[in-house]
Amino acid sequence: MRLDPRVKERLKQTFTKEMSIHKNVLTIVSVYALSSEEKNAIVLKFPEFHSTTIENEVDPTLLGGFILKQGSKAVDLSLRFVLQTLQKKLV
Amino acid sequence: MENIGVDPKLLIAQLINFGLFFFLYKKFVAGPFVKTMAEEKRKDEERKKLAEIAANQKEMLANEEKSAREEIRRKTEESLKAVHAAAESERHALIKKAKEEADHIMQKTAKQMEEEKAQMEQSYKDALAKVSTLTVEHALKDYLTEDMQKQINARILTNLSKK
Repeated sequence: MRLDPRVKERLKQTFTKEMSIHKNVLTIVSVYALSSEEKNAIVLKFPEFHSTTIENEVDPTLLGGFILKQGSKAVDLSLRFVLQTLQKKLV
Repeated sequence: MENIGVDPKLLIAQLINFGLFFFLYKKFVAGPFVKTMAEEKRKDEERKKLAEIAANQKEMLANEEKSAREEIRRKTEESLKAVHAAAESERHALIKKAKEEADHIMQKTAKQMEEEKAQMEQSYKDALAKVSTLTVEHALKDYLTEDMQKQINARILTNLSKK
């Protein structure tokens, strides 16, 4: 499918803008709301994630552990991911 | 002559009379009769000859008919043999073809059964894995308290430090 060059440029700009916004935001998804100490302890363990803002999302379906997300990078250390991996291995 | 009672005139007349009678008899009675007899004899011989020819022809025709019948019988037997051989050959070809088709169907069915079996086993495995993980997931949801969650996070961070 060929896109109009103008539309393509617009999409690129929007995507770059959105990425730049999210690039500086580190999101930690966890089962419960993390304390500041816990957030700092997690961030210290991942020096590859440089961020000015840390957000905490609560998702009980993770079962345990947490997920780190920043821009296009993500590290999944949740029990849900472990179970999903186990399920794939069982199959 | 007169002494022996013979009249010469009468004798002459009788001789002439006899000659005339002989001539007339030969001309109009004996001649046609002999001729008719000869003609009848000739016709009789001709009839015999014709009958003989007819008999010969009949015999010849009978022989021809016999040989024709024999020829027809022989040809019929040959045709029957040829038809029988062709039918036998066709039967063998059909049996061979049917056997090949049956083998092909059996192989196809066996392959299909194997595929279905593998598919079924895979679906069982999928279902089993899904049920197992769902069970574990539900159990963990019910079992894990917030303190435990904190311990899990701490354990993850500790393990990361070791690596």
